[in-house]
Amino acid sequence: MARIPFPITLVTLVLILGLILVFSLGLGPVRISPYRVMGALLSRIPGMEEMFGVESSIKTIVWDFRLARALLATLTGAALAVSGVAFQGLFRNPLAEPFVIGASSGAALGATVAIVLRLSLSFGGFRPVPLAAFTGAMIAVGMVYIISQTGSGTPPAVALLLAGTALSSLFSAAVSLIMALSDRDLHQIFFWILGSLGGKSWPQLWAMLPYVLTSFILMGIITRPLDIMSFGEEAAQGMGLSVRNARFIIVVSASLATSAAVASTGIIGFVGLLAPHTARLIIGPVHRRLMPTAALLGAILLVAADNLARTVLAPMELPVGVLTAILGAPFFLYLLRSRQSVLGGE
Amino acid sequence: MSTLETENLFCAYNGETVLYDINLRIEPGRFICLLGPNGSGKTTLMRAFCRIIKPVKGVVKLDRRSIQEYHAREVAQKIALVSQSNRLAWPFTVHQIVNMGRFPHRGWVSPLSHEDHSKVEEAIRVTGLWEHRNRIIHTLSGGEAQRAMIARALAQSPRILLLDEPVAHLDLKYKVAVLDLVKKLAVEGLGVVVSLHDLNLAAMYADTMVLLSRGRVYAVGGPRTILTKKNLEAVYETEVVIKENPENGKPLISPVSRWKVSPLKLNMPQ
Repeated sequence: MARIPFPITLVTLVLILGLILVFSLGLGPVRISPYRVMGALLSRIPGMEEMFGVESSIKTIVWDFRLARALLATLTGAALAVSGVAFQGLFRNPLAEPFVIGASSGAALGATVAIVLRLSLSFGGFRPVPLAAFTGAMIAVGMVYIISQTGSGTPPAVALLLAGTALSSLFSAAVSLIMALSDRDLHQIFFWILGSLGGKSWPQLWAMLPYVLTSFILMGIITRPLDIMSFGEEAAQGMGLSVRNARFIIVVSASLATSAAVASTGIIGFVGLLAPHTARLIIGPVHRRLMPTAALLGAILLVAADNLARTVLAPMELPVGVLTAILGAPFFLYLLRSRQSVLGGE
Repeated sequence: MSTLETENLFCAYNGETVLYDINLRIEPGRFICLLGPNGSGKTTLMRAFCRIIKPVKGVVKLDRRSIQEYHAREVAQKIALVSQSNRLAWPFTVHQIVNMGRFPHRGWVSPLSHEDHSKVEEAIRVTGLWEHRNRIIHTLSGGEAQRAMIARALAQSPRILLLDEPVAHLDLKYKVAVLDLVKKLAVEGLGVVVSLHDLNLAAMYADTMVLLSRGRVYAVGGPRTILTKKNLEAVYETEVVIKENPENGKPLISPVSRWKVSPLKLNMPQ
């Protein structure tokens, strides 16, 4: 199959993302035309304040209410997509995804604990809630990894999915228990865990930024190891990859991305499945190209899903996680059905 | 040129010893065959050779230095392994797979250099896959896929090439094609270690044979000294007949079955 050249793919996806962001910023109780959205955005550039004649109320709506949420959707979508790519590469399994393998629930449990205990230690820009979420995600991934290992070789998909499901249930139960025991924070946890971008603004964006950026840098480093790992861990070792190091950095970067997404927007499932697989169809499996393509697709997907979530039942707002599940769960089942062979592992 | 040797090598899985006291020397330019029944330790020995498993006792030495003292990438620059199962998780093309063979020389992030690309191209051409280079590995025939894996190993520019059952699932044509290629590489100076089940193929290609039995070296030597009725019957626990191959004078081996059809039962009703 002839593929579209990589640079053209990237530029096209960036343009699509830009367009959909501008469109997204115009959506809401006050509709704003794309032209005025652009005007409002550019008005912050020194010397261009009055160039487009956009009212200050419009500027306020765009900058103070909508932009942070749109950027949050962008980063969350990208983070979920790259962590999907990394988990699929690590487990050599097309069904691996932060939500499916329990990383999201682990992150949710970590974040819940942090909220209830009102943890306040932070390292520079690394805030406590995402930090606790990261710890939870690392623990979850480590546990799934250890449980699904069958001596040597690739973990069979069944073992991986069952371990992920069981751990997810366990962590969700723990979250529910904590919620039941601390009705003081019930409201806060409940709304956050639904997986919604509603009411999210600059503070959430700044809180997730260091985590997402760190994970993106690590993701850039692990693309070639992920290629080599597709031979299986033993063969990868024989090809000169120190598998232990690679595995560790992959788990850290994927957990960082997952927890950044979960800590700021709750559990949003299946983006880590939809984006990587679509990206593979467009650009092929080489991770150096797959990773950025999937990130952009994830961002586009989540911004689009959030637009829908805000408008289908307006003025009521759907949690965006509901929409990604409606799209993603059937896709997951389709993968499960069409790739029966992966279920047995090797 | 590199040499690989083992000294009093013992290997174990989960406390169960599978290789006992192996002393071998792999030299450049030789085609070495590992023979022996299932479970005799051929694959384990291959894994120990390229540092995938760590010996419990003894050493594997690459150029007189213990292989454990090398970084994983340094080992892979000199030793390449093509293992038995080569199931890739994702649908890479031949070219993309052979590119990965340059990993030991490039590491995690540096882009492939001009030299890397020419090595990759050479590996693809040598294995006769040039016109298939943009095809996805899963769409190739067994013989082509196996050659792609060998091309990837060659792209590592190794001094020693280890092939674990490279022709097990191939038909006659590809068995000969793959082993001819490997023989050519050995003649050109590569140290080659191939594990084979097919004794006749081994007889055709091997310079040296290593006959393994229950994790021990049973005998080492040329095809004529190793492929004897006494050795084979002892190691494979099966009666064999050995004749001379009229084509090349090498031993030709066939197992003997003691199951006989009773002559009476052949009188089928007309």
